Amino acid sequence: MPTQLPSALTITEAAARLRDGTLTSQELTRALLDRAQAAQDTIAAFICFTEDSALEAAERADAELASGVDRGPLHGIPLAIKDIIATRDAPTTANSRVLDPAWGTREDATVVRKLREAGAVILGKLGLHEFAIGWPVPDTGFRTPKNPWDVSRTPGGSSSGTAAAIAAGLILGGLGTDTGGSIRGPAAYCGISGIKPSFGRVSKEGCVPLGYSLDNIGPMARTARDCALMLQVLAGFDPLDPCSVDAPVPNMTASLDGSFDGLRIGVPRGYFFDAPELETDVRQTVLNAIDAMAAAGASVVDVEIPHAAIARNAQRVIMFGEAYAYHEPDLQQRPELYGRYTRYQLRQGVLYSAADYVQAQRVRSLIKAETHLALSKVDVLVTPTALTVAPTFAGYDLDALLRMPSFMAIWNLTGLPALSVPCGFSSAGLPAGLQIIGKAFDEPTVFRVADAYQRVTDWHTRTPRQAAVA
Amino acid sequence: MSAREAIDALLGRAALRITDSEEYERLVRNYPYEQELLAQLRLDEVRYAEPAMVYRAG
Repeated sequence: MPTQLPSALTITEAAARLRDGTLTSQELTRALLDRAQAAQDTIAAFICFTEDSALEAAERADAELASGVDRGPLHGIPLAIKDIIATRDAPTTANSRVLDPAWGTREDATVVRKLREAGAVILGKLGLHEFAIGWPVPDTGFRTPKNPWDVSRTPGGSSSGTAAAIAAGLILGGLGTDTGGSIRGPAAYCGISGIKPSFGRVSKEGCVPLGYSLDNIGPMARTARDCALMLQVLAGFDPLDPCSVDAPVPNMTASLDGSFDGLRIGVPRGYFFDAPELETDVRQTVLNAIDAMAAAGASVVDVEIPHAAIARNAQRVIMFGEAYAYHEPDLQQRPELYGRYTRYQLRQGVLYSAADYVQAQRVRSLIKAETHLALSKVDVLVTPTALTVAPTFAGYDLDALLRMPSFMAIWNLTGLPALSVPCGFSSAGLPAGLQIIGKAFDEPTVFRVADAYQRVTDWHTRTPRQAAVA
Repeated sequence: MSAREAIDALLGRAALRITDSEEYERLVRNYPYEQELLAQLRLDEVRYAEPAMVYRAG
């Protein structure tokens, strides 16, 4: 059975097979562990494996399912965790020599506890950009995850290992974190789906912070439906997280009926479609996606977010200010332990004053009001996720990065749910991402649009050449 | 104040030492651009706006 495991297996498909007797969790777990361990020299998605506890969890899942105990769609499903989130069975490194090893010796983060209670099988901890920022460099001592579509290219960051592992068929889903696009960027670059939920929807307890008021934990998987299944488990109020919101958790999959009827898609053409840095191929794939949604019955409406272009500035000031406050003692006392790009990025926090930080929060109010107005006319907004397809590792340029627009950071600033799904390929055969943004705490509508789109397209079923992961 | 003097003052106040000349020069080189980005946040539209920060008593 494991030798016949398809590389594009989804959580939904695997859950069905675990229940119809054509697959066991132990077979699935063993097959994926073998595949992932074999891919460490090429894809390098994992920092560590938790093989013993994974096999125990798989055995328990099989026994429970056989006895009629069904914990839901994640029961017996192999997942993995970005290594910035605490787990009881493995240390947490944040891909850094700086993080105190004692930090990781604790119980599961709330999100991991919830996944385990839902019967998920945790295969291990996934690579990332150091402290969810920076850029991979050998001096941190960790392996660098590669993009399965082309191993000379980045899988994006900071949730690089999660995206690479899903794209390569090493796990069925995983957790990422997102402060300015760290779930959605890698999802776009690797041709998978990933959602940054509404701020406060998912507990951040047990996650090393980057920007306290911008950070989110969210699911990444092959399809929007799988992300919805994961978010259903992850969502909910947590008194241990001061940012957690005590709001009802809706049924994330109830409206996944494949219909665009009555849906209004807002397109903010200014900035998001006319930025000179937006690659022609990416722009065209997103425009094609909008056409496909219109052809399937959606209404397309142009909307405006007048100050979208400066959202990135405000997000940077807030993110680097908050990150610097967390890292200041280590930057003062042992800066040499950081990777050089992480160190540089974090040091930018000294450039901003307290007044700059508050001013950025005032701009945040303005942009929240503008996006609220734009969304009052439609059900969701759509934009490109990233400016380009995945760049090569050799192309990293910090000075250029500073000057780049971002189509993702604005949704961290506003706290709105934003999902990236694959929407086509460049002429070089690299995936591009479509971003779908919803109203606050209306993830079900975001999933409805994405799922309906994935029923009329097959981009999400494409997989990289297996040579890359063999 | 030049960009170099500004960076030196900010690093000194924060008690940060930079031994990598490339990192230091990048901070100096990008300082004027960072100031432009900050200036763009000083909008007339938010002159009297409340910041997006909420505190609850207790």
